[in-house]
Amino acid sequence: MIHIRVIAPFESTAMEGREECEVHEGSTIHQLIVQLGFPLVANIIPVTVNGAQVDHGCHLKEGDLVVFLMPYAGG
Amino acid sequence: MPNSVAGKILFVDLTKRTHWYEPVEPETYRQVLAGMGMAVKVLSEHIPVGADPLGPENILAFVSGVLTGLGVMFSGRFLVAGKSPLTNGWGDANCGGNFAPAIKANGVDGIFFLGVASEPVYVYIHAEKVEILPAVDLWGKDALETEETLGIRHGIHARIASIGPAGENQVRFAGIVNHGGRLAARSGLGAVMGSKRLKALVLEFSNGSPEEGIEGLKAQNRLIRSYMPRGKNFVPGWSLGIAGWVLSHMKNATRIDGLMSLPPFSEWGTASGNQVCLIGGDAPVRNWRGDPSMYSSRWISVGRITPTQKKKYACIHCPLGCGSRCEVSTDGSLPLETHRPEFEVFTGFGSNLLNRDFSSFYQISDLCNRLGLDAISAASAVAFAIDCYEHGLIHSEQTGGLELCWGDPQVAVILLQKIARREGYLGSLLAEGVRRAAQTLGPASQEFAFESGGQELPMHDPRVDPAYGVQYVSDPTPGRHTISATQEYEMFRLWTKVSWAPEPPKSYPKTDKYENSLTNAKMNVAGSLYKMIMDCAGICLFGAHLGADRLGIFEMLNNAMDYDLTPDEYMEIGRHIQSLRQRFNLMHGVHPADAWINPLLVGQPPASRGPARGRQYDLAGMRSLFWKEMGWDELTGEPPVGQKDGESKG
Repeated sequence: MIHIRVIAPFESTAMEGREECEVHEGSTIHQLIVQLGFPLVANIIPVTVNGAQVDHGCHLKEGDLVVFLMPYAGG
Repeated sequence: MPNSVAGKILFVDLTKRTHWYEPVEPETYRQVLAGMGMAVKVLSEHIPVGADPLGPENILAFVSGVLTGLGVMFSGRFLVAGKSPLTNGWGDANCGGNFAPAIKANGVDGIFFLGVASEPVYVYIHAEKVEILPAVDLWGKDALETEETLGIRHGIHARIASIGPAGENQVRFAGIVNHGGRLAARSGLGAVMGSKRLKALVLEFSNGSPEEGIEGLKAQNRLIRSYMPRGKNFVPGWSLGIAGWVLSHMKNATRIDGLMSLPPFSEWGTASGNQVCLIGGDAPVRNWRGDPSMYSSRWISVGRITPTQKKKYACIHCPLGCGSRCEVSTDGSLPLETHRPEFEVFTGFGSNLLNRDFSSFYQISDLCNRLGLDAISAASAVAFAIDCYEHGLIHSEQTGGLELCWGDPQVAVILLQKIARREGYLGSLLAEGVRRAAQTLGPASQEFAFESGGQELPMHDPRVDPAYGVQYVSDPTPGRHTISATQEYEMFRLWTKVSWAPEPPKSYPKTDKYENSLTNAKMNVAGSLYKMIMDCAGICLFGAHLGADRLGIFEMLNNAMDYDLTPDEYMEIGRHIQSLRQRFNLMHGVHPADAWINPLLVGQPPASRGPARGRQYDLAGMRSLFWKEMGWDELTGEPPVGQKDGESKG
């Protein structure tokens, strides 16, 4: 298992309000979405890992910061 | 005294053509830090009661934050302050560009201009010299031409803040321009500069990053950089429109984290919110009296913006770079090269005027930059004029034959030119701002006036987020969207640092925002106090979207000032500064309870269509609770006399 941080506009009972979670080493973003119980729409929301945009087949490693993007409604 | 601050401020008397320095005591920094705090302390002490905002007794301040000039990420902001000709009370405007660190580089934390020059001048500060130089040759030039001329005259190390024709002609919503079109736009301080016949302030500046000398700042910079978007952006533009639709149709609101919005913000800046805000009902349509079905978000989509973007633009010391230099063809002639318009231009001159002409947004944005006009107020004034014309309150003989109609960008272009030069009846009328124009035209025009306390409203509808409404009528600079709102507060993540700041749930019913609850009041107060700390530090609001824990502003201030204050103690400094701003208003006869917004934006009558349909909220009650949580009188908004927060000469 590896430890990662996930920031997403969805609730997940698996995360209990925390950013940190455990996933299997080498998990993809698609697998992460299933594991955390995020809605299916998360599969088409752009995502970054450690600040760089990746596709949802990207494999995760220890310490990664995964962020699902959402525009800020301001400016 | 720590090296991070200068320990003195500069006064320049334009009437007597003299200048002098005054020391700043360590205790003063402990009470108000620098930046906003320094400005409000000094101006409260020096501007006499009853001073005409456009007269010699007003003082115009350019101040620098504690962290500005130290190479700290997001610290490239300076603040201009004075008595506002729009509100007759406290006025300030915050700005990026490349000017900010040049203030401290000249050995001062602030420069304060008194009096009125006998002829147009500019002030050039370099190598510990303060020169008041003639500007007769510059008077009449637009702000960008002025900057170019002075840049050639004083060399590549010159940093220039200037006014355009709007400031010269004392248009009450004129701003101050630097770095080719970045404006300290709000509060009408460009008019104050024009009233002093001060065309420009030129500061010599050699770039440097003394952050390496201050323990902790370099490490914090590395941490901030680690959160910045890397590599190529491939957020599809269409996804923003879908996101807007999904968000507006969800029953629950989702707590946003600033990291979620960084890549689109880095790519398109504030314009990344165009579609989301329009579809979600946040952006106004047809002078606020329409609804999103009247204007397609495709007309201002990022998909149309992307091809115009030629080069990324960042303010000094910014790792994000939310700006862009763009090229667009307007009328078949040479392409216009300009800054990418902000969200406020796309919506203020787009949906709010029902204008679909995409290239006109660039033309209008460039025109506002050159004329030195606050685009928010200017857009409001144009929309107000069209509504009044349509309803027979302005007649064709008063417009010089110009037909004021929705959807025609040339109406805006012509009116902006007239306003900046106070040309004709309509130019002079609108140059006074929407409130005064409505007073001139009579009570029937009030329905079309969207302002608070004399300041035109920004393009965010409080029927969709009442927290905007609270700030519009509660902050000492009314009608301001950059203090705090629901999403802003969520991104600040203050609950990670401040003991009393409420943590919003990750998901909550949208109706929660409409409740006059203690939690909502505390969030509004916390956001408001935190904004004061940002403005004392010189930190960009968009940098603060990272969150207080990731940005580390409290820790950086401690490092820079050799303090050991807790975040709670910094928030009390923020409260003290808000109280000083409020006291300034009271001292000058501006009663906080008089600031109010058009009843339409409180849902009276309720909207019949769109995302704001049926929305109403108790703004008076929410403001009372906000003031109470601020520690002020809940009916009058007055800070208690005698408490530390209320200290100022009055």
